[in-house]
Amino acid sequence: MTSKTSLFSKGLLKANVKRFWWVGALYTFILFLSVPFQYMMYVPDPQNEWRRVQLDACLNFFSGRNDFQMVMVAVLPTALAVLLFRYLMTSKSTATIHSLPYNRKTLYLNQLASGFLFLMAPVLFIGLTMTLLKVFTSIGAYYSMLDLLQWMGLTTLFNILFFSVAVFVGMFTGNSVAHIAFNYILHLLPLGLYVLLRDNIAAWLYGFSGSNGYDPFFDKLPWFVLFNNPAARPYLPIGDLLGYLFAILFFLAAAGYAYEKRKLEAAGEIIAFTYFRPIFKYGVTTCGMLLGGLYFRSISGGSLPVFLVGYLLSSLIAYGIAEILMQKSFRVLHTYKGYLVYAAAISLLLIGIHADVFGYVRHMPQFEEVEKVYFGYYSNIWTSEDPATDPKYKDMHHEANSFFSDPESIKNIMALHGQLIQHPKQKVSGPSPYIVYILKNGKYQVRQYTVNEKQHASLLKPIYESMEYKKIRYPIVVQKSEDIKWIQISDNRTSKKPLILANSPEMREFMALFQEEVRSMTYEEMTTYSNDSIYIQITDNKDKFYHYGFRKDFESMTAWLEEKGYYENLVLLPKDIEYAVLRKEPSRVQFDKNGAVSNTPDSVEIKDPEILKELLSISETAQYTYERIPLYVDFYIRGPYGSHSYRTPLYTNVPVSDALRGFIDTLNQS
Amino acid sequence: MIEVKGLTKHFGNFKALDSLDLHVKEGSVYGLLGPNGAGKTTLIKHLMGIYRQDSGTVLVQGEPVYENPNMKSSIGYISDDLYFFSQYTIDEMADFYASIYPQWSWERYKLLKQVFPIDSKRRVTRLSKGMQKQVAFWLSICTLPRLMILDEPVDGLDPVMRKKVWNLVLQDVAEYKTTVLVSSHNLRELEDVCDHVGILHNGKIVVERELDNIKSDIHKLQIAFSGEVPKDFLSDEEVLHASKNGSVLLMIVKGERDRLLTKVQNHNPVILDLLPLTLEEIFIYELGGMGYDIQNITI
Repeated sequence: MTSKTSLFSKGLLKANVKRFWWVGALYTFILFLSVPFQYMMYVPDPQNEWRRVQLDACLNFFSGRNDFQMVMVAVLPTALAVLLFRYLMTSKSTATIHSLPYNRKTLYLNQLASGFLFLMAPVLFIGLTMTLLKVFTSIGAYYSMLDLLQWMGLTTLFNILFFSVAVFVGMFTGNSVAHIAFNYILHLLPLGLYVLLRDNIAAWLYGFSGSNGYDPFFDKLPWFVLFNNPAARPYLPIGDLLGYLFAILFFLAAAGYAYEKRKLEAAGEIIAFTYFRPIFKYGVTTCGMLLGGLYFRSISGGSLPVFLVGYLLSSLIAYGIAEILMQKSFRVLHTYKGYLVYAAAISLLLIGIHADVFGYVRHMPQFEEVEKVYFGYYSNIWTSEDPATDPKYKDMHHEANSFFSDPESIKNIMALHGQLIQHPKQKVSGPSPYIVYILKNGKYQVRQYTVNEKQHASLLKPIYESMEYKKIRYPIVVQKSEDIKWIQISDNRTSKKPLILANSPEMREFMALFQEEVRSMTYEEMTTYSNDSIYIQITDNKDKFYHYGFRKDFESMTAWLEEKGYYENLVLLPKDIEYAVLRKEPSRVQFDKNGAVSNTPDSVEIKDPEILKELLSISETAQYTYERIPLYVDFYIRGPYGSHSYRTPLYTNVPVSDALRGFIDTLNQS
Repeated sequence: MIEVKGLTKHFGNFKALDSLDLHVKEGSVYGLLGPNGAGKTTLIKHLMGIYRQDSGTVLVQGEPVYENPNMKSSIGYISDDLYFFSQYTIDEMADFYASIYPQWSWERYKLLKQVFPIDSKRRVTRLSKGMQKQVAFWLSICTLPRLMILDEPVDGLDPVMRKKVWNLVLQDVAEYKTTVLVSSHNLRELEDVCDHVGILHNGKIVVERELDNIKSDIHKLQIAFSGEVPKDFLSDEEVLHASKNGSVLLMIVKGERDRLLTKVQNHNPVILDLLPLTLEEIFIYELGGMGYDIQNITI
């Protein structure tokens, strides 16, 4: 009577092959079309580099160009897991299979082995085909064995990773449709929940930074590796590889454990383990609430009552859906008590958050604890040891490095912060800088507020006028002339040659004037928008570039340029303008019946130097807050290399001379 | 052969089995009776080690069945809801069974082709329900099981096939002392084959006895008196049922046959008949005492 119980059963394996061989065959066929066939059909064409790039992508898992292969990785292993473990989902098959002389371990291992077989055999077959092609044909010249092995390895790794996740998910449900749905939800849930929670918290906690991008960890999740791999990394770092292998082992072991614990009467249930049902129910309710709340908030422009109604409605709907799914019936009204408990708990939580019982909104570190403060717009830069040399922030703008460590500056920023948290409900429009305290104990306190340069002028003024701030915005103010390679001044609007000052007394003179201008800049000057067309680019000895706008109020520098005779050869002057054309915006151009532009004039030419001068001055003084007229001006500019045009809009805010008004009216009437 | 003690099983809040005890002797044919929803299939799925009990023990030949492949390989199971691999022919199913049941007999398989008139090259899932049941018996009998657990086994079989199937099963019982546990609604049929019956009601075995014992213990009496029925007639006996048709009194009484007869005769009845009780009557009267009654509802 005793038979040797082995973990693998040939009968079961054979049965799986017999029933699901077509999955493997289909996969082999698809892989054949997407790899060897591509190479076989390739006709070398030096003119068509693109075709070659596409070909290389076939065997490059991370190329970002083989979407179809990625879709197969996401779909096929999952489908296979659903098929192989389908017997757990109906009571008929569960009873029959488990009445056979196997224990669950044997059944589980055999289904896994069958899955591995169907996933790996096609890849191996393709590998063999490609190897033969390489050995016996000239196609082999287009790829190396390393390419091939890497492709086989990565494809198999991700196939098995997706398979193991799907197997894991299957153990927790008794319904194949739920199996598929939960599987993909699990792939997307971590990032989805993170974003939902973050944005919801940001809506409740004044100062909480919600626009922080997301942690790069999420890009390592299998789903995002397949479909959001913008970096198109060339290879898989060894740490990631180990992580994925560990994840596979974890999912397979956890699934095996869950299988041992699973009650077979769960076949047909949405959630197989009774103690997971509340988690599922309230999980769905919470996700629904967070998502619906954000939606209601966004369509209502941030109104609190609508936000709350959004929470209520969407959590109620989500709760109902969860109950309907679990009970497989629409009669779920009797479960209202569970929702009331949830609603009460959430209300308490929200009231708590609103009343700031955790002290998050009002919390400010003690001045003595603070080592330095980041007051700027670059997220996460404060986590870098030394942002100035960190390769991650290599290409950042010099203003990103907005750290303040002068006690005076820290005090000023804390004063601003203190003022901001006094009025959490105040409606403010403007930029949203971070205020991040880097504490002496190595911790951070990260906050983000919307600041308005007019409303908060009195508090911003001492910060802006401090040397530390100017050093961040205008690093030139502390740079030494020895460190500067050259200074280039250019006007974008003309084709006049830029002025380059390099290592000369003139450069030092100009630099000194620039430094003095910056030093004497007031808060009001710094916060006034200047529509600069002239730029100063400074290159230091380390080849780092600094770009500055040449502000109108840098008068001493303009005077210096004029005195040296550079100004005229550098800057666009009214006399350089040959003529200007005032045009309607294309959307306002009328078309006649034949589709041609109708004869009504849609442009006027202006040659009057006075008006040209006026138009130029309008374009130079414009502010971005100005309201535009649906007209624009094309200046036709003479230059040393022929004429070219330069376009600028017109604004209602700027008063115009009668002569110009005449032209504008002519256009507007037609 | 089968020892079940204190078996309890819940499905959610519903108590399907309630500290159930069951004993089946080796070589016996045990009929499991019970109204719909009493828990027969649930009990059988515990006996097959498919369900895991909340509490209690389920032993077959002294060993637990749950997660015990050795034990399962000696049990033949015909479920009331059959499942076969969709692509398989009967021969392929036989191949599959042969690869997993160590006692599989090809000799029997070939022999039984004469009993089951189905082309063994046909796909099982394409067959009718009754034919699938035949296939299930065919395969199961070929595994030479020590114990056969049959859940509503002859449902869907024609009368001739029923006879044939029971014949095969009982042959094994006689020859190899195979034990059979069979659940059925068809009491007539069980009466012919079973030597023991257990009645399952509300998750409990309420009666478990040798069929002969039951029959000798419960009696159906037809009595008529010339005058009035004597006062306190048989009031000290366990009367399961009493009804009067004209002057004829019909009574179902528990108790020793001779004692009952003497008692009745003491009252000088005009007519006294002691009739044999059918299993169906036992089923109805036993359960009737437990509130599972036939109520005459006119619709």
